[in-house]
Amino acid sequence: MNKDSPILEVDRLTKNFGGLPAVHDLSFTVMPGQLKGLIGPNGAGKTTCINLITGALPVTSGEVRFEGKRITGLPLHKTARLNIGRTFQLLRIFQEMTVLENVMAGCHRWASLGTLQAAMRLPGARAKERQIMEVARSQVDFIGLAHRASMPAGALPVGEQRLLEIARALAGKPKLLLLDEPAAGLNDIERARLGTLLRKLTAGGLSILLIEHNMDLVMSVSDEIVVLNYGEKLAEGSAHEVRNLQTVISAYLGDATDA
Amino acid sequence: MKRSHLLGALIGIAFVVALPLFIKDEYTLGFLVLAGIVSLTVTGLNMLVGHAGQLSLGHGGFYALGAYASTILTIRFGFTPFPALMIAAIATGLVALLLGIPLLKMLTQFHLAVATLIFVMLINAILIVGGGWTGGFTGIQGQPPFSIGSVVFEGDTANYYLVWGIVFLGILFAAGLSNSQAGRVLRAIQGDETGAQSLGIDVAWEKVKVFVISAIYASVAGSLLAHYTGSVTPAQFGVGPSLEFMVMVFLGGKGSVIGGVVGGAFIKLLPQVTEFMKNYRLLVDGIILTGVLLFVPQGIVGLFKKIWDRRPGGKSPEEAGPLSSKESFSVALAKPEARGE
Repeated sequence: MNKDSPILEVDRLTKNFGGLPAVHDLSFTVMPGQLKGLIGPNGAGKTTCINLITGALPVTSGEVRFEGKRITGLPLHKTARLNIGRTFQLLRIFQEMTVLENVMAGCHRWASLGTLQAAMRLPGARAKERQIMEVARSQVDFIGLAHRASMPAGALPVGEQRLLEIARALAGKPKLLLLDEPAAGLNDIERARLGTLLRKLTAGGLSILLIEHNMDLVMSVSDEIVVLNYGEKLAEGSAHEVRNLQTVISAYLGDATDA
Repeated sequence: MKRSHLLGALIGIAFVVALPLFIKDEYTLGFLVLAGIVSLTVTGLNMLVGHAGQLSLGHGGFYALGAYASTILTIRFGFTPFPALMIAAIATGLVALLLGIPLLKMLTQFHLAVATLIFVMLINAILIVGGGWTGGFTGIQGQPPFSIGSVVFEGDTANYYLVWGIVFLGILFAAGLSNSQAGRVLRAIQGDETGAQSLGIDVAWEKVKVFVISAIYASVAGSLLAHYTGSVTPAQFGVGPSLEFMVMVFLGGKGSVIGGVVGGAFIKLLPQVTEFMKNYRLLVDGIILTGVLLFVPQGIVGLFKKIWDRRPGGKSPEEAGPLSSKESFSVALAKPEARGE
């Protein structure tokens, strides 16, 4: 993969819900190792955008390319297998499983064994299980939930459940990670730590698309930011550029001139 | 494997192995054989229900396919019982695959429950109108006792060890699945299907696989039943037994590897204790299921596990997980110390 070509290309993507455009003619790219922020007021189409990229929703028109290959229309589990990880705004953790088991399940992308091979503990199964355990433990440590590892995931506070979803997605060793409001429910300290973790991940070569309402976090960690409003791209640029654009300010605060 | 699990397993195995030494009465031993056969079906069904979270009300249909396929292969085609059992299991697995692919790819667990119910009714109807092939209402009698090579399993004691030996293998396989990535994948599907898909899990296909495995368990149990009793009739495999299997899953412990045996043995042996209720069996099952769902949603095994986790020196309350109000009620009921007094 060429370092100079984008890992993700969103090309003229459109999604209509019963005639109403949720995302309209949206184009942007994510480069390898880049952290791209995706912001916009409520209802701007951010989550829809992630659902379109990952195949959780069918697109109306337009194209999504991952590592140069068209992935439009692939279902969620197939985009996941191409090494696209994601988290959910409305949490989708496995409540009855422990924190560690959740993350171990996240290893499925690279660690799936045949059902029979696994159940009958045929050669290779044991070694694979050990490998899964190691990766899961290191991800639980990395995200800061080691002290919770054997707790049922449903018993965690919401903020920690969000961190757990990130650890679970990371366990699959993704090349691209799509995060849908990972800081919602985190306190200031946890949020600051999350920012540091995200920078560490991109420094390690991971590409991230980050939807986030908390402006401090987005502005401080993003290499570039795309601003959506009513499903259309309003602006794109560095945090500094975006912050000072009049269109962005009015989308968030209304047309008040005294803002 | 944890030491407490290993100890429990050894005690369980010793108990099952030693039991016939103390029970000389053939009638009781016969019921223990039947309890083992049913437990095998329920252990398989529990992987589908307890791990993947899918409901099947039609496993009596797969049980029937195993029993009738073994019967027809041995009596009409002259196969010996062991290859007949294997062929029956493969054929039943294929039926489950053909049934499972369309059902599990697009339907919810509730659609699956209704569709499998229709399946068992259909199988039952086929058995009744099958004429010379299935023997109609009166079924087919005269199956040879099970044998592998020159070893013939004749009589209650031999069948007891045969059946419970196979139950043991069935539990071993279920435990292997449960404790592996394959088991985690199924529990993830039960937890949240979209969440599971986002990890690259092909939810529909994983459901089909466990559906087929559970059908094969039922088929093997059906074959063993046919060879043990030497008689099959459609009434043994209708909607009633299918529902009873589900009752056993919930009663024993949904998702527990030994829950199938506990639930199966409990319900099969209960009528021996309360024989006068025979005509009210379904009603009694209903009351038991309702009671279990209300007060012990994790089943008998789940209840004992909670009590064990809460013993002095057990897991911390955090690790053991929160109790629902009803669970704490039943834990307190079963063991006063658990109230933390």
